[in-house]
Amino acid sequence: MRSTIPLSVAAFLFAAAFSGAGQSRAIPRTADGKPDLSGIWQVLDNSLDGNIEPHAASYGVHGGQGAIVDPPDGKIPYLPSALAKRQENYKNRAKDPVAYCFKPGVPRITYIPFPFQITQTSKMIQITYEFVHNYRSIYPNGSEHLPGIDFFNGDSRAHWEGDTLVVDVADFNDDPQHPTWFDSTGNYHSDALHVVERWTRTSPDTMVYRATMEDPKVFSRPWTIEVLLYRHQEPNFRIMEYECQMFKEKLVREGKGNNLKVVEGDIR
Amino acid sequence: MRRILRVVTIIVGLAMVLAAGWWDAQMLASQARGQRGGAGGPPPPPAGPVVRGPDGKPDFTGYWISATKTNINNGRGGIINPDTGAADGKIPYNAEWEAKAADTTKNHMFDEPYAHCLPSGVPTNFGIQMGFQAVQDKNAIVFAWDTAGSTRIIYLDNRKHVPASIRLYQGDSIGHWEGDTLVVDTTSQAAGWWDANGAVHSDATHVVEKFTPKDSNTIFYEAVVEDPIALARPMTVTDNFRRNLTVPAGFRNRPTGYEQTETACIEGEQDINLYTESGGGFAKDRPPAADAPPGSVTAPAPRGGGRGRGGPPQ
Repeated sequence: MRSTIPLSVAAFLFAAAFSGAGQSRAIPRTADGKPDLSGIWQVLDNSLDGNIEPHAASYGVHGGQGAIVDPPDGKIPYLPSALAKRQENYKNRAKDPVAYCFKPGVPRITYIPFPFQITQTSKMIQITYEFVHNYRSIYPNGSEHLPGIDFFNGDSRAHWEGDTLVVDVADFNDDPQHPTWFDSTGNYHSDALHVVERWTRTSPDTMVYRATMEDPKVFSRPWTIEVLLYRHQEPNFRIMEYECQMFKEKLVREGKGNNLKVVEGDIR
Repeated sequence: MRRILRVVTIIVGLAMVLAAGWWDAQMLASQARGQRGGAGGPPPPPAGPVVRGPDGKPDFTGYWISATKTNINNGRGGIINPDTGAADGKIPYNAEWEAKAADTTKNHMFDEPYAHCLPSGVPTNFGIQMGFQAVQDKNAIVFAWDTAGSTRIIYLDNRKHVPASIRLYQGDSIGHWEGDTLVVDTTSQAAGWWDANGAVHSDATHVVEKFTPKDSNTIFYEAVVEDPIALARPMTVTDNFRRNLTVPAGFRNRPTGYEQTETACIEGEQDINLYTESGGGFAKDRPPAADAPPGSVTAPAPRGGGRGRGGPPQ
């Protein structure tokens, strides 16, 4: 008897601790019962913006295992005819559109190393990005894609599947002079890109972001990435501003008598 | 190439800014159309009571139009005249900044922040860009503007301001409710312009805004602007934001109505083409840098959009 009492106490404490942990993992919900995705989020794996495929480190790029969960080899299933363009992009990777302040496109904008804030209502979810005041409006209202309008960051229509926000992103920009890339090594797509995102808040502080890309002009089959997003918990953390063209302008704007240089000309 | 149409739209938009008076008239006409529900559309329902969220607070989520104030100092900028109380006042500059603003209007229009696709600041954003959308949840109210695609986040969680050494184009905005009025305190705003006509301000502004909903379709807006460096006394700027009830042709057959679409204010492209050495911008007598982006050197700088009123200095 003496030995069973501590055992049952231990079992009780274990159960209490377990259920307590379970409660603390419950995700917040909005008034309509949907998962509340609002907050400030960011990827921790900053190697993905350098290269979304598995890669060793190179100058300015963290080594990383990539984000592609399908196909199993972690590589983008390029059509043989599309590989040459990817190699050309790699040689010209200094001309990464993001380095010239263009909108990063989807899904790249999710894993560039900048935070973003989700603002959630029942009719519209806005994602506001620190990177060059990008924002996306996501409509979970049953609406169809807009005909005849192209977007750098796509046109986003959403619905809920259980606790997952599924976003269908289409109508990507088809201007070959101003492409969007998946990363800074030149992994690319055509205007036929179609992305299906799946946003699942898995705990108060984490969200799994999956995106499946299909583009019959460039890929032999659909492929899927999975990225873990973390919620910023620092007190007072906020979205700042990254207006990158100002950094490009700095040299020529010195001494021109303009008052904007005060913003970036002085280390304060 | 459909995006080109969007670019053309933006260029046209920027060109419209150049003709401030005409632009004012267009916007007023547009707003008048909006009140009628758009050309050919059914009349909008009459304004109802203030829209409220689950917490009972006013909910500003939706599409809004503010008055266009490309020149805030012409008596039509909504500045309160302290002597009469009418909204026909002028900027109470001190002598030094009166001269500075006049010089900017005369000589430095190419620096107009809007022409560089930069966020315009507080309260300027409400005056020089077309309509905006508001999205409000428990954490924040986020504004996003149709032209130049600026965004502004107003935090609602009683947080502290950012350290005083930081400067942001949109400033650091923290809001709280006083009854049905949203009161927003903005500090750390970078030096910028109050309009698109050279009304410069310092980087020491402090702005307190009040957003008071009058009915479902109207928000009374008041901003008390302090700038101890540029102004002789604080100035009060007022406006009435009206819900955007215009339904453009592309949205008429959609049950969900109007949506604000993405604006690529030719991010970086115009500036790199027109302003940077590497793009061959100002420095046309110098060879292009090795890292010049594709097409930026050989193509002549386009005339018109993005350049501001004065064009690059010769």
